Amino acid sequence: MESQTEEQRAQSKVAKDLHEGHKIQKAVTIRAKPEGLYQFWRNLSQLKSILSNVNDIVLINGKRSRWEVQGPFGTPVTWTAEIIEDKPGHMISWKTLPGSDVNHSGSIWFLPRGEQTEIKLQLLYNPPGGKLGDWVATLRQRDPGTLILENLRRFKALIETGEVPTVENQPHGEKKLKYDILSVWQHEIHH
Amino acid sequence: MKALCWYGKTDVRYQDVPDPQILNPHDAIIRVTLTAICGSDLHLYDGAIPTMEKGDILGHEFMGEIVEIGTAVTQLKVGDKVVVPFHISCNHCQHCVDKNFAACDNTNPNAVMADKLYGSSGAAMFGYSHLFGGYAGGQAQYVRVPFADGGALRIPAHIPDEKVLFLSDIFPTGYMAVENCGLKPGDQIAIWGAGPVGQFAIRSAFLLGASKVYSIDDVPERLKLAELGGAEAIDFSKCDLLDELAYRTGGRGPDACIDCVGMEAHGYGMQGLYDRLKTATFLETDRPIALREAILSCRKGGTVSIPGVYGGILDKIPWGSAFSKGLTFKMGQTHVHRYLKPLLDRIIDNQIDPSVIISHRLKLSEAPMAYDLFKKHQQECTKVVLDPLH
Repeated sequence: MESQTEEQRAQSKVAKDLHEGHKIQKAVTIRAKPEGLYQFWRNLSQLKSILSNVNDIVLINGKRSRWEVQGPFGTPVTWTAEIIEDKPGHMISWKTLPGSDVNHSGSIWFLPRGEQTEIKLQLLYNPPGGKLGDWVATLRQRDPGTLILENLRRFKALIETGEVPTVENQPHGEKKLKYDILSVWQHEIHH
Repeated sequence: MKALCWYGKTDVRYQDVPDPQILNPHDAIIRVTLTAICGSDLHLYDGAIPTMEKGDILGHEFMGEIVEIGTAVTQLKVGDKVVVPFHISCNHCQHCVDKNFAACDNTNPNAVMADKLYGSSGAAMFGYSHLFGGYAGGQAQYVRVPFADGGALRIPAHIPDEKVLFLSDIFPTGYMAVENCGLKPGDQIAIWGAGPVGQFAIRSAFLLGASKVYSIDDVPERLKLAELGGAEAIDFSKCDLLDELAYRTGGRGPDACIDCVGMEAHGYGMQGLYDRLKTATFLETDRPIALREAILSCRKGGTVSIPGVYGGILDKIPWGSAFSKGLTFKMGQTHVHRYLKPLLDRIIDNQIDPSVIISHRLKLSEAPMAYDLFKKHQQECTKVVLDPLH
């Protein structure tokens, strides 16, 4: 019950902080204590190693960091983020500073659930390329929500098993073609 | 190395590909000594499973000898003879800790794709499309096995490969399907499909205390093999199946019904025609004939257990019957890791010889022909095993 109250409190907090733009909310449950997970996340240079679409994170000072991220059309997108609230072992909130390519604000919570931790992440952002860009990104499975969930899963796998699952560089025959979620649905519809 | 690669509907090729490498600390590389074609490989062969890519290496039933291990592998060593479960499980997430290994959270790199189709992703599988992880399969001379510790089962060297190969999938699959029925002593089970999984379900049913097993198929050779396993054979092409089952069970219906057929069932009459039309016109993806019959014939309060694979959307399921009779449904991918050791013990104890279902022993180089044979000639072809070394 305690964690539920905690979460409700957190949710009303984010509603106050983030009041415009697209909203993304993603969660994973990890078999670990909140403190260690918070520390991993708070150490931004360590975090960089598991975020698949992040090219670089440069620490400016204890609160500010400069991010370069692979955008939906292959072009890098940059922003400067500032931590606006930091509760060790519990939550981190941040927002971007003026001059960023993608303005957003976000919060991540580390909520104990028995022996596990629920990680909940919320983000409000304005998509680069506007609504059309957002729609195309979704079809191509590179929308921010999917990327964030993928990265939360990579984080979970690394924490729980010590490795991130991969099939890159495994053997295959010639003529490897790329699929995407669009062709999956087309197959489902037409098969 | 040589491997069998998928290129499209009914197009599989035996060819040279690069050798696999260790990619993660818990990986092992296995030199495959024996592999098999599974009935579910035919769904890939028929192009019924989306997200295959040209060049993907097939195969999820295989065993072999460990030739290389990653830095985090501690329980296995080079030279060990092992059988490998068809699904890949991390042994660390909550589902694995709860022994629901096929629900593993951490092995499918494409989990978000499965989320979009299924709501959430289960464990990754070898050689079974990118939706299920995109891992290269074991119809090859070598294969990379992630999370080898806790997955690959060490086999005493003196036990022949053919007796233990099917621990990788179909023996545990048939066994769990029966375990899911929660049998009481004296219970009667009806099993749709007398293919390999059906054969193991029949034998597992007797191991787990069934008094009578009805095996339902229309291939005489498969029904004969079912009878050898102790089942009463019912040829559904020659009777009114629901009437026959009701009669044989004293009007009650079987205590449990197992659908070992899945998404590509062959049916006769109006129902078969209906599904063929609907799948041909893209209004339905799967043909759930066996499942409908299982629901309609099961006794009130009975259990319908579904090891047969379903991939998409089903039509005209008699839900009213299921509700009215208060049926229990159990289904899903097999938690192979749970059953490896206990079933190996039963094999060593001579309670069962899984190799009886093998009808064809071929070379991996003959695999393209073997797929065609397995698809088109079920009369003679029950199970193909492939020797990858020749």
